[in-house]
Amino acid sequence: MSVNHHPDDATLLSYASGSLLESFEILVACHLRFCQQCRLRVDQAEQLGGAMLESAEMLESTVMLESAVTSENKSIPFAGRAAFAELLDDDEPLVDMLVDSAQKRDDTAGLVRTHRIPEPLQRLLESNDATLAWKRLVPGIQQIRLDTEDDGLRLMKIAPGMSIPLHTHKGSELTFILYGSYSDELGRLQPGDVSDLDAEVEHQPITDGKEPCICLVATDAPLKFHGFLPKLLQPFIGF
Amino acid sequence: MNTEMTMDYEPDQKDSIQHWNRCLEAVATTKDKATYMLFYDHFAPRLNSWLLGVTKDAELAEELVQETMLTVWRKSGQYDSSKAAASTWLFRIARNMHVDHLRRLKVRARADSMMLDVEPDEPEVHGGMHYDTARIRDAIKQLPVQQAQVIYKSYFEGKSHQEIANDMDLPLGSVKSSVRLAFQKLSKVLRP
Repeated sequence: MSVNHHPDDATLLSYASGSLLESFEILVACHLRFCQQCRLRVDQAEQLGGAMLESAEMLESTVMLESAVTSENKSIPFAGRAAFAELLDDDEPLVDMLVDSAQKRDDTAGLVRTHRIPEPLQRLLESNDATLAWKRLVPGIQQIRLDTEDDGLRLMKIAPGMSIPLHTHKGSELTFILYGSYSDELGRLQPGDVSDLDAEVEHQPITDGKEPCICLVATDAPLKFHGFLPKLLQPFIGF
Repeated sequence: MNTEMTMDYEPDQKDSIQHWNRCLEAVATTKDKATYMLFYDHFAPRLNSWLLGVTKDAELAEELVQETMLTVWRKSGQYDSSKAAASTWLFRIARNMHVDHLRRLKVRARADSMMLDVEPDEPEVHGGMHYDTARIRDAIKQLPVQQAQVIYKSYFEGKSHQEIANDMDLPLGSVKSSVRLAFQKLSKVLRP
């Protein structure tokens, strides 16, 4: 799979710092599966994270923010030191009790980043599963809302030749292509590609090819589909 | 207040990165608790300061510090200094712990949730093996204030671009371009 469209650097940095909403985080994780270039970028942002840990007090004085945490003097031992030293001295089974039981004794717990991938998405990542419970939104467009903590993630299945003016008037919109393709002002998006838009970008994607386009869409402001969508959706004639 | 301490700390930054990498490798081979406590004394306060910013909860921050430091101790055998600086490794583990905690907390009621790993099977890739903290510090100091602020809010307050836009009363597009520019400047300092 050759990937040509990537999340913005700003999005990748926030993925690395753990500050994306879950919907966006899951979508970026899907792209990273296919994109070594972006994995390298995330790796760099994580290195910066490590450097920031080392430089916290300096950064706090640079940013001049009231909200910045006033660090304690870093030479003063951390308050939990004695408790931690005891933990280390204790027997292994006791040490295990502190670690959340949900993490069990998995060898990779904490070392590997995991995401809560909603089941329909998991099935689509494994294969183009036609048996998913798609809900028809308007003729030619079906969707499945996915369960995430911010409720901003959905799968969309769009018939060939549809023009979709998906205007988010507020907020960000990330789209990850799973199957099929579409074109907009920014180019042609194919499986593995991500379109990373904020409110300032207006685009009018048109699904091309003969197959439906299945994509994952993350938004942080509601898409106002009800009512006005049918008016906006115009089957693209001539393709 | 602690300016002097900070100044005292400066001269050896480059060495200090190597120092902690070696320290963690020593812990991995010897499993020596006293050596690990040196590592702990250096990183636990820093980790706590960071986690306090992202969780805004002193008790939780301390709990996550202990959990992270315990994981680092127990998994130290898997640390490889040719792949990542000790602080990068620590940052990743702490971030994973924090995000997992966040997700578990809010989705606990949803029975159908599953934590699934989406990392590819192929070996992990690594952009740079080491960085030089002194150079990164210089690069941060040279950032325009707004760029330093958005970076701070991304890493130390765990805020999304939209939340930063609301906080700073900026258009979302400006926040994204500030984060992007700052990232591009800072990542140039990472050695390939």
